[in-house]
Amino acid sequence: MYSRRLELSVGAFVLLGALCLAFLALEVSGLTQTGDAGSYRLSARFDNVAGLTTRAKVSAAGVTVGRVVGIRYDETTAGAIVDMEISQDFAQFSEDTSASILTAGLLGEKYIGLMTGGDPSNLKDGDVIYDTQSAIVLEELIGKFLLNMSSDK
Amino acid sequence: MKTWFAGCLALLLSINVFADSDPKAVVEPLKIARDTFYQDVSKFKEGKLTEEELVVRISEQFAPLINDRTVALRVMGRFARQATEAERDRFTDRLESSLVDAYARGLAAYGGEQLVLPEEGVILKPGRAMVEARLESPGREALPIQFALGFEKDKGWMVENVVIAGINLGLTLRNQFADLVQSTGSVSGAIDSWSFESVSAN
Repeated sequence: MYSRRLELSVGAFVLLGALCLAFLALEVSGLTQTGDAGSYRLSARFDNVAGLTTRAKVSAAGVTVGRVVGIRYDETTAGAIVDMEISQDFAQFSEDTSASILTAGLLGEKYIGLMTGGDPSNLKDGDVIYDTQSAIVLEELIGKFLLNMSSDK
Repeated sequence: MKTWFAGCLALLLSINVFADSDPKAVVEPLKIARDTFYQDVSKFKEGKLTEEELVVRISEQFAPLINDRTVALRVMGRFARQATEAERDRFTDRLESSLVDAYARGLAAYGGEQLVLPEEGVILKPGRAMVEARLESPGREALPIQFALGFEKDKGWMVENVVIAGINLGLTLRNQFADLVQSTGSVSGAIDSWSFESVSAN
């Protein structure tokens, strides 16, 4: 009887641990749903989105305001267009809002940071943000640094 | 006579309508400013212009090319909405004078760099375009420069932002303005402390 209860307790503990791990994995990977009532879509054009994935967070002042729902190549500008679903609770982004690809945490996951501007009119559903800061590619940085060093000598 | 007048009016209107979607028209103001800059620099080298005169001339040539008001609002960022109209005007003036200082410093460091512009810009949407250029320096890797332009009905295409080698200048200045607001404690304090020196020191 005692052994059976012990076995059940260990089983429950292991199950709880597995659930915790699953929850942690969902939170870290950004796969959880925001659960808000409504959202609108914004896009942003970047020169380079290296490392950014769909379902990455979109935040403003550190607050998660939406998710990346799509990344596609733009042939006209030879850049990348990132589609974002923004919660309807955050509808006050000015037309000159800028979007940057930033890095969060030790794992280095990429997310989009929105920074509102000073324009009196706000972005609407379907609008595109062109004022962007693309992802920094380490190899390009090292290449530029080496070239500048060699030209300085 | 009436038909001739109506024809002329329609032509003028069509020029204005198509100007904001003509990829060649986007590059034109940049080309004019660049070529005039080279001419003035050669005059300066020949001793026909003093350094002060050169800075004044460059400021005058660049002034109609840069949308100071839009740039000022962008740099102020979220603080622009909290600021009064007088504060926004004051910051536009301060930004203009810091740009003149930047031209003077830029000239002092000018080492014969050449701005290579494309034949056409990219129309992102009516009234908004970008121009991918590059700055070639002797013995150095060319720097990619991206100009973001907006179309103003009475003034034509005007520069609103510049991205140099992937660094968004407007965004960098916006962060620096936010830092100044934090260090001075108010938007008004940040405007008063805004200068070329304070920005470049950060």
